[in-house]
Amino acid sequence: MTFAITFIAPSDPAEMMYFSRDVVPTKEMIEQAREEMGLNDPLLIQYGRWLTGIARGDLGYSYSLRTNVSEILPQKIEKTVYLACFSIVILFVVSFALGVIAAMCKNRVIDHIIKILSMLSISIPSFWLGLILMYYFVVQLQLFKITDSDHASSIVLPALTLAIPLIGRYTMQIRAEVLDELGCNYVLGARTRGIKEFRIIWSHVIPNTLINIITLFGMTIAFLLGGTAIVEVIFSWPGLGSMALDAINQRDYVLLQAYVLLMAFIYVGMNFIVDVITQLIDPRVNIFGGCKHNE
Amino acid sequence: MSKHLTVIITTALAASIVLISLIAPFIAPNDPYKTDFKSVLAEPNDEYPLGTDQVGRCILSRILYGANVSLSITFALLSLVFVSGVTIGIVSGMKGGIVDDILMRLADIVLAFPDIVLVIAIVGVMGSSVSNMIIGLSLVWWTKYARLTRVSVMKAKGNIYVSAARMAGASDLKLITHYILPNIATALIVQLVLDISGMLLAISSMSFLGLGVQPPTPEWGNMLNEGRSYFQTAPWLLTYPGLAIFITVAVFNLLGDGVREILSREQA
Repeated sequence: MTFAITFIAPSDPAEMMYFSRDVVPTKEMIEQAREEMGLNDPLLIQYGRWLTGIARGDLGYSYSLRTNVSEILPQKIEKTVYLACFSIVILFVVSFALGVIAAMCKNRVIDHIIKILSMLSISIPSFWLGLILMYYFVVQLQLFKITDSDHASSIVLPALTLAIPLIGRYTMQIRAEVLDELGCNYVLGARTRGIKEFRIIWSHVIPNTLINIITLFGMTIAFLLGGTAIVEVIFSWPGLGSMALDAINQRDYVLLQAYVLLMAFIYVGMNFIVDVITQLIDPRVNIFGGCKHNE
Repeated sequence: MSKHLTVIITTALAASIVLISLIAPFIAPNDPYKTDFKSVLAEPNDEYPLGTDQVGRCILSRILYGANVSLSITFALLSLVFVSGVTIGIVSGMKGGIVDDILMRLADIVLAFPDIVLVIAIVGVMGSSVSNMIIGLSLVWWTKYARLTRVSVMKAKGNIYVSAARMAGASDLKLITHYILPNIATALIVQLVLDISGMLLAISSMSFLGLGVQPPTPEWGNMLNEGRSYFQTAPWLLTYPGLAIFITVAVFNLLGDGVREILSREQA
């Protein structure tokens, strides 16, 4: 699939390589370059070469950056993973806090406020949010630096931008789950035994809601990964997403291929991890297709 | 009752947004393409209610025309993926066997990639333009409806009335149009309404990244992208197009939620 991308591409890689070096190529030069890059071989042979390359960890040579793709990828991955992890932490902390508060104050003013806020957060386009945050915190208040991605505080805004559109969805889900659990008999039992409300929620209700939230997380990974591309472009964050966009502008399909392949790997891998975690938390779920035992 | 009220209000709001987008040419104060170099990056004033952009075009007019562009692409794309997805889903669910296998494996391949990433890749390779964006988005989105339809069809197929109709000699086509589709339509339509805002966001995100609607055609996403470089001096370049997306998406989100709640309650 990823390989197919280079073939639907309208322009010739060999030609583009010369253009990227500001040389207008002649017919012979292109022909020679095609020969060197193995582009004159039949499709299947090229595909086979590409597959074995991947198996050996070789993703090809990026002519816009003039290095091997596998050399620059690790640092880009690090940046993107760092950003994603940071926003996942924000996401879970904030939405659990809001969701539990909303559930405890069901139908009171604070519940309605949280409901409206999460509705708004779902609707906000992340690219606009990023720009607005940048305007207020960087231009007006000068709280954060965003030009320097190594600076510790520079991650706050991109991570927030990535997290906020998801926080609404999670908050509502957590609120619903917590309310479900609060209606269970064991909560009533705990209450009659005189256990404090906070303790009931912390040690009984939250662990029980976790499993559904993790399933929800599995479904939002795609959103998160796609979102990194947009957020990285806004904040000039030197991760995989902005690399891919640069690759598109440079017509560097090798690099773009690497990006798509990597994202697919991360995506499938994360989904698998989520499945495994789900099973670890709740042994009733069998990911290997066995029958599901209900209580 | 209050749920019905919310749906009525949001439907009215959504309808008025659509209406505004349709009559944009008549209510826009200025020509959205006309540049006015005497008032470049002007703050909101009498002539230009929401200010002007970097080449002196009226922001309000561009937003109004942009509504037309954004919404028509959204609805066109949604109908395209809805019809094709549902058709594929029905074929897959009714036929089963090898046809089902092939179609669903195709969907699996698409689903192995995070959706925006795949669209970015497809458009990036084929070149940035509206038609390529539409191709990219529809290649990814049909899977959603195909899978939903397939599951619903398979569920509906197991009902006794379907077997009864089949025994009475109904053809496949008749089974689908008379017995199965009416039963699964609710779920599909709810999904469709819920997806309006998502599609709108996807289109403006792509345009924002420079991979969708190309300037000078006004579209909310690419207006934001163009205004990005000036946001320190002229924040109104960003505020208003962003607000337009935000409000529209919020209205359609509320509409989707309301419709879902009412229809799911009626079914229960």
